[in-house]
Amino acid sequence: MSSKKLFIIVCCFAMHVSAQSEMDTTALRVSYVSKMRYMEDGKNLSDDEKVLDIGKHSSHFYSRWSEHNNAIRDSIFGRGGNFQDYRSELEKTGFPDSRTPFHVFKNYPKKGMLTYTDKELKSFIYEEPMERPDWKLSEGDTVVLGYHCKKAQTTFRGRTWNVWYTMDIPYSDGPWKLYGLPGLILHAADAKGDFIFDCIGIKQGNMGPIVLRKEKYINCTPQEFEKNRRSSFEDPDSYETKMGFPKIQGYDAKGRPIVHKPQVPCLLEYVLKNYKK
Amino acid sequence: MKRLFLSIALLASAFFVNKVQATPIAFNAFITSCGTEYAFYGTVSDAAMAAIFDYYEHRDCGD
Repeated sequence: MSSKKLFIIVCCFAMHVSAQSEMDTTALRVSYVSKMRYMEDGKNLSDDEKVLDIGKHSSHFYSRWSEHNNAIRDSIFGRGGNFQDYRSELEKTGFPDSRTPFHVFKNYPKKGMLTYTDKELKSFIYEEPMERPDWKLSEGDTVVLGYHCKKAQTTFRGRTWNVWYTMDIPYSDGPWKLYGLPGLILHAADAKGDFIFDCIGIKQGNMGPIVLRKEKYINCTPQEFEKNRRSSFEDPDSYETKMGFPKIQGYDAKGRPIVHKPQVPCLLEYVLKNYKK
Repeated sequence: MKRLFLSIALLASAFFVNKVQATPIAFNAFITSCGTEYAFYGTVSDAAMAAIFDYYEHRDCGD
């Protein structure tokens, strides 16, 4: 073997080892039940089960229901199945549909950066510098899942959050984009009652890599994503064709054509100016 | 003779129209969990169909 070939092989091996060492693995898995309002005037809160995977230097918050159903979709389509196969498999083994299938990666792809992905017909992705909420520690304590918890409050991007955190689990992390307390957030609820995260389980151990799902994302900014979501709720049919899909016609259960009323999404955060919070 | 010619012309035009109409345009339809139905003409992948289904399922069902 020539020295040139040997050099290339050694370089490839070094790159492979380097890539492996950068990949974070889950050391702590925190499960939450969540309740989230979907539309501003929605009467009910949508249920979901969220997971916070915490690694050595990053974390990943996502919907367990959505990930499970995505795995079914990938498996069915991966072996040549069609949409009907996917639907029938979902009915048999799927979780309920998640209306909030977003992902939040903290300190990802590098320290101090947050990666957010979400769906609005297509998959969107943005990165932003991590913004630590300005917490006010309050009087009061409680016990969640056997852990002694303290109270804190913050107003973050248009919503006031009341949380319970435990210093018994010394990870400065929590559901969604909330973090920065001297312990893990086990309960978080916004003051309007639109969003609630309640811890239901904590597991320790090596539970797989923290990695962004490989798919076709549309790059955007947080502002562009909010604008997109608002226009999608305002007029879903126009948004659907704007995203490059064929024009679609809907009918209600009585066979009458559906005309979607303009709606306002209930948002976890308000990043666009000129919108009423 | 004239009548025969006319018949052949009609048959040919019917064949031509049938040919044009037979050009396959995929018809797609689905029903959401709350009973709304959606239909459209066009060729989309199964993954895109799943995305469209989820989109309208979220809009129509739940609140």
